Amino acid sequence: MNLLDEIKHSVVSGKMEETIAGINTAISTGIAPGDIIRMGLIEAMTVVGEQFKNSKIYVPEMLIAARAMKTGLQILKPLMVGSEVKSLASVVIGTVKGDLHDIGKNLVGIMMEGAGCKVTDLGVDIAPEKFVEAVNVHNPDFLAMSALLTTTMPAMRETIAALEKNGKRNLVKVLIGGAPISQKFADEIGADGYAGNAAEAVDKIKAMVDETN
Amino acid sequence: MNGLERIRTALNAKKPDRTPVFPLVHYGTARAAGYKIRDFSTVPEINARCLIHAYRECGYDGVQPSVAVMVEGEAVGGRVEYPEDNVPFVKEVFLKTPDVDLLTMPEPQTTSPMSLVVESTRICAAEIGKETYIAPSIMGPLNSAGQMRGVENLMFDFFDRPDFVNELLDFTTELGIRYGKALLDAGAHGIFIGEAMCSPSFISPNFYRQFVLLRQKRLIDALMKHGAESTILHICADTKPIMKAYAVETGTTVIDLDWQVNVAETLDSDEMRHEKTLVRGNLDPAGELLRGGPPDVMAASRRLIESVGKNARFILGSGCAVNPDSLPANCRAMVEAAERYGRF
Repeated sequence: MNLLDEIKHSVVSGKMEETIAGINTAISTGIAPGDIIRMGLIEAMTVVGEQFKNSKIYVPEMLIAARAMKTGLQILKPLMVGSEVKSLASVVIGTVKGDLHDIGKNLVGIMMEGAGCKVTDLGVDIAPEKFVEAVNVHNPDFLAMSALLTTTMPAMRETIAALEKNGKRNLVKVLIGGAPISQKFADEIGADGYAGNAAEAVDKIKAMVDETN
Repeated sequence: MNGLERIRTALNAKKPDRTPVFPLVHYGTARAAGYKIRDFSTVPEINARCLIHAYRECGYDGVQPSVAVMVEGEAVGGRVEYPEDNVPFVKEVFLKTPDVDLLTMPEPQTTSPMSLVVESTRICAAEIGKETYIAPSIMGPLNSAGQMRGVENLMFDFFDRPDFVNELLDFTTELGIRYGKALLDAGAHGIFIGEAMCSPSFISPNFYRQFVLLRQKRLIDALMKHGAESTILHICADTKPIMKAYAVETGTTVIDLDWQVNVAETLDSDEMRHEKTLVRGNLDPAGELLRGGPPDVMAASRRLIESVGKNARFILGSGCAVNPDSLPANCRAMVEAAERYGRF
């Protein structure tokens, strides 16, 4: 197994220390940080996404893989030179107002990051006006919202209304997800997309980026 | 038959006059009674008042005293936020470091908010306990652990320190037993056990078996031994991959299926066909129950009742927690559907 495959394997199996060691070796042998990210980390998260979709792994396994990937990114990102920094899309993500559930949102964020997106995570309990403000500041391609409760789902509709009111709705694609959310609900509130899990969310973004290109 | 007789008859594997109806509704009852969810969650008399009001308005067959999933987490010292009209949640977990020795076993009768649910159960049992089935909520071992340690932390603990997870789950199992017994002593007929985190859309069937299954069984055995007429075990989303463990090996009396699972197929599955376990389920709480009206709820309830046929091991329920907007009209429609299409 070559070095990049070893890193990939360490990330997929969630082994943080092995990932760090592999990355340090790769750097010392002169492999470009961008290549380590692409062929080590991003490819690993693609495998993780597939395994999750096929019920080969579950949320805990995905979380430890994400932790390993994130640790790897933290080492590699500062080493990237300008030409290597190119993202698939930019995403602002958050859990809606009144809702503190963040595991699903975190996983979606990290899978997007793992797919090469630039992700700005606003956190939890994010009011519609905060989402609008973040769209103003970061000018993202996508706004992703999460809700786990039926009592907080309506905040998604309110956020889309706030985007419209502020003239920002057409500047950003809105993706939503969370346990009580469905495609039907996404259609009802005028979201651009719905994803049932983190891996699907990445597929959605890739498909939408392809459509616009 | 009244609701209590109806559910008892079904639990005894006999046919009641019609399909029993028992939605999973607790904080969802607040608005219909003119209260905010914060009042419902902090004042035992209001908690009971809301539950009783909704029961009388809708006419279903059981009530479920509860606050929300954070009860055990707050009882051990977690900091909880109570929004004015939304579900309370743990803002700061107690177990920031993975050390079970930091925990003190709370006394359910006197430690808030467990004491609130105990008192609400007592009021409900005294006022309507002779006519309707009282089944207050406790959290199962894993959910309870998640509220004490933080769900994401706990997921990492599975890999980083499994011994700690085992110790914590032993603690939460013991806490569940004490809490459940206090609720039974307050007049509950059965106990609802919430275990959303055991869902195969979250943890693997292997983890469920390895860490949780036997503890759920220990909890259920202890409650039944203490006089519970039933345990209603709720696990969210698609539970087919763990059905035998969940529905049979835990020893629960009732499984509470979320809307993603087909009730008729479950009752007729190899795992369940010859078992006594009842199934409660499973309208879509974010679908017809929230965004539809009474005709949609009637139609969905009818489809469900007719798909189950004359199988007496069925209680019409709501899949997961009912939203305040679904009361009273949509919950009443469930009862009307049972009256019209669920006669035995």
